Amino acid sequence: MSGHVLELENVTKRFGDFTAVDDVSLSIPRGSIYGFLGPNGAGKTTTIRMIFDIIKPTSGYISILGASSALAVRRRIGYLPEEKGLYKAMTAAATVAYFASLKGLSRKTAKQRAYSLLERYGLGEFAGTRIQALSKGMGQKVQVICAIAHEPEFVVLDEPFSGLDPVNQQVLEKLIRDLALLGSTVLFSTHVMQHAERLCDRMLLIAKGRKIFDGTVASAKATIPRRVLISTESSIEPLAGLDGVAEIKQLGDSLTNPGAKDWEIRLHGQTNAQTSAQTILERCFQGGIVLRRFDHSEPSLHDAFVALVGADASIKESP
Amino acid sequence: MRYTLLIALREFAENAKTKGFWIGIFMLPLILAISFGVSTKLAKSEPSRYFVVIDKSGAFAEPIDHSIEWEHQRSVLQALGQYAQENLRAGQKPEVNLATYQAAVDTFIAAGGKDAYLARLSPVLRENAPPFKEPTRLFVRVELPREIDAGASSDAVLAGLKPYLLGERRIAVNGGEAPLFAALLLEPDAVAGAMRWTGAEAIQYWSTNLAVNDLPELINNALNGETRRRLYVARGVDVASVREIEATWARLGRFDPGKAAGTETVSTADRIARNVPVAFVYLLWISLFTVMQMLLNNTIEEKSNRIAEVLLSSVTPNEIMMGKLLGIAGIGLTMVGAWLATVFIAAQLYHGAGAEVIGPAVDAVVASGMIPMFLLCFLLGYLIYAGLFLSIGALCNDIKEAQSFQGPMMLIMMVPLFTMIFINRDPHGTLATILTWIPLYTPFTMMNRAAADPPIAELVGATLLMIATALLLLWSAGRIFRMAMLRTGNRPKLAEIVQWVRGRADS
Repeated sequence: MSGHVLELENVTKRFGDFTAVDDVSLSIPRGSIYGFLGPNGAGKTTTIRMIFDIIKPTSGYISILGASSALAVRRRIGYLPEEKGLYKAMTAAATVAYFASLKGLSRKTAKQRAYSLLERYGLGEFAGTRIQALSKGMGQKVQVICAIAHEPEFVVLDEPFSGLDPVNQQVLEKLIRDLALLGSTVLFSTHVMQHAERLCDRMLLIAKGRKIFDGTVASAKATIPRRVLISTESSIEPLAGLDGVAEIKQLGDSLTNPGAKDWEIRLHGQTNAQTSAQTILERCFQGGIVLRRFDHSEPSLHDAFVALVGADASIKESP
Repeated sequence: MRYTLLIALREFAENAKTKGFWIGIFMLPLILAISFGVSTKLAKSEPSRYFVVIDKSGAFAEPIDHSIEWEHQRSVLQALGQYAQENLRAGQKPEVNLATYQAAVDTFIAAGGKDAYLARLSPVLRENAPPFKEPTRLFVRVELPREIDAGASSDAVLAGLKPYLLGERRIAVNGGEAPLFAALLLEPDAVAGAMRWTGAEAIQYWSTNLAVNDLPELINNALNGETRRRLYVARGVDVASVREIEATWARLGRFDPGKAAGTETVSTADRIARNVPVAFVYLLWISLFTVMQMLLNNTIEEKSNRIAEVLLSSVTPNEIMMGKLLGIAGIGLTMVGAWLATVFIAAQLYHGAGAEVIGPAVDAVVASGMIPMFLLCFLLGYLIYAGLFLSIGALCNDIKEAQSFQGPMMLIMMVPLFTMIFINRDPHGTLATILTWIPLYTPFTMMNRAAADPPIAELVGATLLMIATALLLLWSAGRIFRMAMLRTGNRPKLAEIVQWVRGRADS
């Protein structure tokens, strides 16, 4: 059995003159939680629709659980689309059971699974309630349950957190972790970097249809240069030429410290960031630089996202 | 196939669970029963209408009274016929002639009317038969209001009557008051004026009610009868002999060469059965129209609620489409099945007026093969229209958008209703032949022509045309459905839809 549940090789999708997905390749290891990130219109949903054989790629090859079409392995995959929707007149339990039976479960098993999952994720008392009477968040939870009721090996969740309140976002995070613990592979797209940061083993970032990053979260963060931000009224001449400092850039007048100026000190990628920051701090004391602010926090995935998306859409891969 | 059936089952269940479906099932028979019952009741409880006659000619008042009375006696005889039918003991036949042609009514009046006939009927009636209730007199002549001088000028008489005719005043009737329905003014020269077609009218009928024509027709009959009687007398013809001769009623046997040898006689039941296709066309129209609305709404729901994408990750577009078609077809067949069953059961249980004709008419319909023809037309018509409505549903983002397509579709679908009577009257005429070969109308037209034994070549050709059209439209709908179900925002242009159908578009 292949170690990858999904493989895309040079997949391109064009709609007329518009290229929605441009030569994207990726492999998702079995059992991982994989983030699929990108700004609006990046081509995430189009890629996911191609993965599910809802639309055909213009060129390239897709292999899902070893099959060339998702329909051949539909019993083993689950899908939560970006645009959520359910039959309004059906009850929550009937809805889950219906979609589970479309995934190959017998009607009896589908029904049992529906009640048990609704109970497990806090919707037991709404099992007999029509979808139209549920809140938006509840409806979304029902739809997530629809995607996993048949216990798929591979689940794709397109923007699963949108529209959920913080409490339900946590429930969903737990659900994704549960799936991974049970051995499922999860691919999910999101705009919210905190979710990706907390959940993902690996992530793929695309922009304008092109892959711009594929690797671990740590390696994504490592793609942006480390920096120290300081605010001071003093001259920063003593810091010039310091080891590990690549560039010093004035950001302008400080908004939080009147009379002071904000500076960004970029560090060399090869040096130990912690050591470099310590050296800068020591030099500040030695050089009599009166600091109003000294910020050496870790870059977030959000920073990495902004930096990567803002950069040229060149492929950056890391192990 | 399993997935198609699952989808079909869900479609069927969702629609079968709606109140609209059950209202639809029970409403049509209920409305028919109520309409039939109410119209019968209303006919029985129609109020008397009062009119006045100002006869300055002195020639017509009596013939008019006679005509009104004769018509009332005819309605009494008709009611007696119905009464006898409802209350006869099993195996008994009435001794008296209860038909209502002229000579039979004359005999009834001459024999002493209702009381005489009831006396002769009573030995053959059930013991617990209710008493006979004489129908209300529909038209009653009353005297002019006292303040109006019948000898005054016509203008003065009419001016005096106007408040009564307009409902501002009520006329005295048997100690009470009632609205005046009409006034008949006969000028002194009415006898000669009756045959004068230029100049002022010598005989004038005044009434604000333009819908009820029975009274003016009765009056006209009386005027014609009296005018002719005077002419006969003037020419020395024996009036009594003329009256006697005019009362005869020639017997015309009607035969249908299309029926089996020895059974060619055309009965009333046969004539009813001959008109049944019109009812089937209406049933076909209403059932197709109802299920198309369901198909359209369900398709739009799946698109606008973004359910299509989840479905498409589990099943193919063709499985979705076939599932929907099967599910809604099941709903349609359940509906028409229930309607037909209601009609047949009601016909079996009905023992009221006309039961002796309704039973054989239903048998004739069953024997004629019209029901299989109806089912064939329903299924092929369903597939043809489903191809169109599925495409519309897939192309529209919401029901509001769909309404812009529904308008023209409604007009197209109305044509069979407008033409059904004409096609039934002339089932092999130009209109019937042309509409047979327009695929959207073929199911309705062939249904309408079913009882008239259309040429076998046309029957086979039209069936093949319906099958071919259904296949073509469903094939196109399949392509449109696959492309359009996930598309939102601006509606695709016609050129783009054509590209989809031709399979030359990016999916």
